Amino acid sequence: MTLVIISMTIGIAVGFLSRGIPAIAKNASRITLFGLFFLLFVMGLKLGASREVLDNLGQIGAKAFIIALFCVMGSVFLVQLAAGFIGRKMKEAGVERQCKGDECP
Amino acid sequence: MTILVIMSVVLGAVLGRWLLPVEYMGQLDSLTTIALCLMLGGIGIELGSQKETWRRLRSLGWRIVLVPFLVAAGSLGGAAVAGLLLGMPLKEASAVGAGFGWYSLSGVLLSQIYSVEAGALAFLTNVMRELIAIVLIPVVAVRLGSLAAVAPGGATTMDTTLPLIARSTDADTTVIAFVNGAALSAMVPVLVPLLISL
Repeated sequence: MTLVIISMTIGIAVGFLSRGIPAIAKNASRITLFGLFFLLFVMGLKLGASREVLDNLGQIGAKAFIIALFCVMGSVFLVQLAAGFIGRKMKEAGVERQCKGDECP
Repeated sequence: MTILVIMSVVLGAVLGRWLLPVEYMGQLDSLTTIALCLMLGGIGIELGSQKETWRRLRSLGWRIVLVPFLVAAGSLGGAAVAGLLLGMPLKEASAVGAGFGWYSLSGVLLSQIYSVEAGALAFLTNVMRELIAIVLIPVVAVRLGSLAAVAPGGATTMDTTLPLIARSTDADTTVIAFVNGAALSAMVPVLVPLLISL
């Protein structure tokens, strides 16, 4: 946990300070990709070695679908609830001028 | 990209199932911790160096920063309700939901710092979130409106679902979607460990 926050903070600081040096961001994305694939591979290793996960893959998949669906519904609900407010503010700020005629809400 | 992600996991799973003795698994931990730190550092650098995003954000007005927070709150709330229905511990359900569709990161984070079961659940949940988003974005855009179409994708609205949002909505919404995805992506590595440690 502490490690996660420290790594991210250092990364953001380095990224922010090195804006305008494309080589740094490019190499960072290489390191990120390498780390990601290695970690995914290890996650696969652990999954494959765990009978508990393999035997319950169907059940985990069903759970996953339900959680994902509720996440999507919750997000859409809250954004839709505030859409009028945010949309109005956007128009006040002089943005969203793409709509024409009767397409305008 | 997606193919490579799936292949890494499947290759690992095949090796783990049939080839690698379980006793060696513990020795991987220091190596994976280093990989995790390097990866998070790299993600941080990419987020920190996105000058263009911060400029776009200013041009749209600061009110749209509400959108990623609403998406985050909706996801966590939805995951908590789903967790209650499924009889899961609240911290697990909310941490899985805090992946916001970024399946690779939420999966490896949870399998690294909590348990491989939770990691697998986070991976699958967030893969499904991306799939549900791909199906729903065009429908939501027509039925509910442009802004709501940004919500289903979560953190993926800055990359994988961005082209779909661009096609289903307008230019301003596409910028909002990008900012939304960038903000949610920044939240994932903070919220997932935070929620699981509650």
